[in-house]
Amino acid sequence: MIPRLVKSLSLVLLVLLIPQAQAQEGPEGFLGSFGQEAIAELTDTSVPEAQREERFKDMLDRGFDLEAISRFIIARYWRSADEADRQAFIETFKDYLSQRFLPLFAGYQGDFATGSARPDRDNPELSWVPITFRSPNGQPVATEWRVRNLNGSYKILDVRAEGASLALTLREEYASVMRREGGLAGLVEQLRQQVARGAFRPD
Amino acid sequence: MQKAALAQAPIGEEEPADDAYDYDDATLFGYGAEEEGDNDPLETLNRFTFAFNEMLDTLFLRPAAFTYRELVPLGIRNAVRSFLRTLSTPVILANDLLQGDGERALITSKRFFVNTAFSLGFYDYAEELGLPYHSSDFGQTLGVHGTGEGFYLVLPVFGPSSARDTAGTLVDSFMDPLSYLAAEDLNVVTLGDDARPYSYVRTGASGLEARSRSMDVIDQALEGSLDHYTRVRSLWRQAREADIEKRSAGEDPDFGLGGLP
Repeated sequence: MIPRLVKSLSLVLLVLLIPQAQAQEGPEGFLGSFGQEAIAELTDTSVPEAQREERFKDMLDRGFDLEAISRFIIARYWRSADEADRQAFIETFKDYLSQRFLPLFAGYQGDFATGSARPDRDNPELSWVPITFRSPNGQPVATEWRVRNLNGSYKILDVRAEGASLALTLREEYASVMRREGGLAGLVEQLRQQVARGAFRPD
Repeated sequence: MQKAALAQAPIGEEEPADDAYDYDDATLFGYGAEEEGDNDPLETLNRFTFAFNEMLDTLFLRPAAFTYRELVPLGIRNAVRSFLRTLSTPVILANDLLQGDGERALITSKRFFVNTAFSLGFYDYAEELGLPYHSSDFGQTLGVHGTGEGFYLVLPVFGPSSARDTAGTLVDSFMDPLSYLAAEDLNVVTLGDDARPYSYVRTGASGLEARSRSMDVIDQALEGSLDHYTRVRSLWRQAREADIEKRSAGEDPDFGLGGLP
């Protein structure tokens, strides 16, 4: 009697759990666990700086479609650039991202809430996922993450904070630098100099 | 191909040909390929004006806004903002209606009645009743009805704008009852020099108020930028597009704070 009850109860429990487990899949689930991982891995300031940077770059490689992002940002200059310049850009871009964004994780006290994904009208493999960051002191920050589902694995393409897209903003800014410098190599050089100076570090 | 040859030959710049650009990348990111152009024919002049505005900001506006923020308590600053917003109600309401947006027009009217009835417009009770503030202007109205921005334009003192939005600002000032208010006699309606002091004070106060609130945001947005001018242009355009599509955070339940449990 009791084993049967336990069995049927656990069955009910299982049935109840399945929809929740499914709700954790999809782009929301991917961003949710990716975000949790970022907070768990990157906020601890007792970990040496170099190691945190390594973790951050590893997460960039896993969670972001850096190739697609670079192609979009560099746009017309991408095809005319040679492979060495492209790789140099991706590496320098990762240096830029970690100098600019890794410090924001240091000792981060807040958490975040993931909203339900809004699929792209034209392309079902793409969706926008709203995430609100809440910290104990300060206004909540509303962001949207553009996620691509590539054969079941998710990659981040873009972030909008308060309506402004990171990819679009950088594309327009870098375009003007590349026009001035005459191509991708010039942009990489500029970025390198700024990274070396620590110009992207938030105060 | 012809287009590419044309684009390359006379200008003589080493820009790659148009067909080198992969349009699939743009669709992947959800931005049309037409955004590739700068749409900034007056760039040289605009950059000059931009530099001039940055200098004005560094010398006057920023220090003034900083002092205002540090010296005046938040409650009073909120009252100032609320009153300025109440003053702009006629223009907002007119544009809500011109946009055919009955829902927003109703919010604007309700806000006006609630706030003037309870505090003469100095306190935003409506916000607490779930009637959040939104702005509307004639440039946005034109955009809602499908007018493109024309071209990018940096106005002296006022900053980033476009052909469409500069025209919109002019129309808004004609729509604004405050522009017709005479200084000596509040009953006399004249459009002329007498009304100017009111407009100037209001414009100045709005600028100071807005700058004091956006100080940290602007500092952060421009941090580590390789080219301030292009970054401001891009951010301004994106914000404007969000205005026109009315998807600013907090208003559309599908965007932004809608994700909160």
